[in-house]
Amino acid sequence: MPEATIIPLGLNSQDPFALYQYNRTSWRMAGVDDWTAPPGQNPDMLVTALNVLPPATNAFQRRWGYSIFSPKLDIGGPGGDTNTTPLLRQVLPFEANNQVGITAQQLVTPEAVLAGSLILVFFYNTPAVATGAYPVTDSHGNTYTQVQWRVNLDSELALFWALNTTPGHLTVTIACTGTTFNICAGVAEIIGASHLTPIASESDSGVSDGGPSGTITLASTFMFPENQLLLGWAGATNTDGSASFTAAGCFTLNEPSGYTVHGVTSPFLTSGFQWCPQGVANTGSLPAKFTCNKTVTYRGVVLAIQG
Amino acid sequence: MATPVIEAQRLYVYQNDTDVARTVIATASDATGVESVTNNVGYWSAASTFTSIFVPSSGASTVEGVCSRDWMYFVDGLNSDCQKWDLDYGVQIWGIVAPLSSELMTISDHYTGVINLNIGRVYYYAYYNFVTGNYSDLSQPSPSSGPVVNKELQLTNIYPSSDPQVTGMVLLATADGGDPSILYFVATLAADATNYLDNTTETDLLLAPVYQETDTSGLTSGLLGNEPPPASGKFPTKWNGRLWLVQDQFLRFSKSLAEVITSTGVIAGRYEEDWPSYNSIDVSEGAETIHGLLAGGSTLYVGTELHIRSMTGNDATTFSQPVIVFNDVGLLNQPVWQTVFLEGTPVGAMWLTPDLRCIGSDFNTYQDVGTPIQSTLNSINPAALNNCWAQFTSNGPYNFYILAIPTGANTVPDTLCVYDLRGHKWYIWQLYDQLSAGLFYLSYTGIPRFMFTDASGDIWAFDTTTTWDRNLDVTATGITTILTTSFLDLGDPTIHKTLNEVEVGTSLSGMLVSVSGASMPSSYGSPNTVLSPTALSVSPFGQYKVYLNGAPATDRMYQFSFSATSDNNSTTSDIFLDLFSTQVKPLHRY
Repeated sequence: MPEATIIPLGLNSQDPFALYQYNRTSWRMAGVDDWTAPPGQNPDMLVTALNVLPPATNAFQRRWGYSIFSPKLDIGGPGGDTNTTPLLRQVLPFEANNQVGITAQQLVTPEAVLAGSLILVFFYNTPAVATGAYPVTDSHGNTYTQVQWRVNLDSELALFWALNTTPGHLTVTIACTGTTFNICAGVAEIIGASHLTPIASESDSGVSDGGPSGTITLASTFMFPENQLLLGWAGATNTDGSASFTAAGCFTLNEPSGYTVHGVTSPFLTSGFQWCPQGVANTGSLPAKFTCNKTVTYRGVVLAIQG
Repeated sequence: MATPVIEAQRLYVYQNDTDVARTVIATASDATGVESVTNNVGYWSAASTFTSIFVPSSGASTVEGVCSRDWMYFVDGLNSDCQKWDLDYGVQIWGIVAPLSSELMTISDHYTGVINLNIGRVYYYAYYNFVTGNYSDLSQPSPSSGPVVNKELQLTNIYPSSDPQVTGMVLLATADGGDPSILYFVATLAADATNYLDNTTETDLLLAPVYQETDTSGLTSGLLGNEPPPASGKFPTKWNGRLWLVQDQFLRFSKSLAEVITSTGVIAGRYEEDWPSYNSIDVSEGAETIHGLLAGGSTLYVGTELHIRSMTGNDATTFSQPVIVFNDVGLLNQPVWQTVFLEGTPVGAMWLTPDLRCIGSDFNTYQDVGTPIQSTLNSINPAALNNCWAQFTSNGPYNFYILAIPTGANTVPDTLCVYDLRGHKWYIWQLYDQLSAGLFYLSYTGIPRFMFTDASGDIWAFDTTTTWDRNLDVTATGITTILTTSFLDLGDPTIHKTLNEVEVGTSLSGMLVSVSGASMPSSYGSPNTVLSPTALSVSPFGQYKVYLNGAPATDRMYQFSFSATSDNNSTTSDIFLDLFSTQVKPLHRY
């Protein structure tokens, strides 16, 4: 029985040429029939029903979407089998060393950022000014907090974070209120963080002319639960006559083991950013230890984010 | 950012009861022998890291597996890849090869001891794996010791195994007289032992555990016949307490647990690894190739390209010959054959035939349920037929058989044919990505997951909370939804009519509506465009409408199409269409 109904609109319902309304509000008999040829097609069926769920509520709705997923060994307890491992969604390194004497730098994310993402802004610049002297703002009105600041000799490295409240492309502005600067900066978007602040961070700096050095260790009391994202950010004064950092090469991750390290560098290779978007089992107190891979003056930051 | 991991051809759930753990195993083989996203076998660790189990060797065919009692067993047609894997013990060869027939043990010397035999005893040995509890088949028998009086027996020419999984050997002997129907335990030997000095009295021997025995009707239990599985086997399946493989036209089956347990309680083998060569059933009486197996309760179904056969039974003495239950509805390949459920109750199975019919069966009868989407099925790329796969999935009120097919020139499935088992209707899903393999499973905590791998090796899962494809990725894409009606006579197929307006019940203000018309058989293929895709207008009373003022609407039959793409304003509760209404004015009957 056809699911459509016909409602006469004319005064004379017996008039075959009177105006009427063809009306369908029931869809339970509707599915795809792309095989039967017209004009004998079943009027309840559809030639195309693309990307819809069956009309369980007697209405068509869009089908399920799909998301990034990473299965995991499910040990049967809370937290098992999750797809909420924090992911570094996008990274934009930016180099402006050739823009000497600027007072503000802007970075535009290559892709739209999601509402609820954690936004990290990291930069390395000369000359060093003072902590808190770099207001970071963005086009979404997010509020940035300085997580780390490290100065060494005539340069410094800083890390800010903010919770993104509005989806869409993001323009981040780093300003210098004290003087002009030469800056190397980047912005990263992280999704899936259950804590909307980095749960631990440390920084370090030094001079190392004799070989790779510069260990940065997160607090020894810091626990490594599952679903963790480790991030490192390093800057260096390029005094050793070689190109500075290579992708995923600014730090060596000494501890914990089992991480796959990814990384990007700024276009002019005076700084690098790397991340390890994997978790480790909760094995107790375990410091994360990065080793700076430059034989030069360096500054670096590592931090951990809980998924 | 999505990171390519594996372009899987098969996905399996692996469970380890010892560790109370469950994870997913993915397999992909491109026959290169080189590790890549298209040639790897691995699992996801507790850190969600894809961890390689082994790399399929050069020339390997599709890697298939089956999970049983903490171990995953793999075959891909090559001896080198016929392996098993455990989360705690890693990869080992599947089964243990017995001492070769040329490796003959000898009894070379007699010393003073306590053995007294009237006729003599015969010795055997077998390799064992302490980790799995498996034993190899027996070695060749030693020569008889002959009558012995107060002697020890020196056994030499014991040949250690080169298989690293072998952790030791077990030495067995017959009773005095050499009757091989009962073999008693003599001693455990180190894995590298080459000789043994035996001083076991006959009394002690007869009190020792039995590792092999044959009853008066010829039935054996113990380690006799503990041969490795056929490496060329396909479609590993667990059914009725055994593992099953297909070897050409033969069904091969492993021992059962009962068949490795002897009367003294010794478990002389791990049944999944023990495949007597005589455990074999000839399936077909003609030219026929087995394309897959399906375990269905007390029945094992065997699908060939021509027929569906079934067999029942519990052991070699009761297994029935696989007889044809469904003629001329053969099976395309193993992955499309799925048991389907409705509200948790198995209601039968569905599969795709080599001639592209989609069959639904309640195990007693069958029908071609795919006829309504035969045009879609006919678009399958013939060169990629074997890449079709299917999964059953359920979620709340939905119970789906989802058939993934490569259409046009695509070799990786790009279209999902979704059969609603409740309403018995089909729907078509096209995702942003092509899906190389999919798996519906429940996590240990009971969370349903329907994951799939795409043609780039990325891993995704259907997510009922998102309105995006590739959600959480920088390439997130809206979902385009389209409904197109059949050609509707709108009440009278003989009257030409015109349309005034079309009202649409939807929550999507961005929907586009188009209308086509036709009156002659020749015009259905290229109907008149009455209304090109047009955005909705809001009537003074708030309804969504499109108006057809001036549109060339004079046909007998009309077809309506509705489309919309999800965006930042979309929600999972959006109503795409719940009402469709149009005002019709009949014109004439000619």
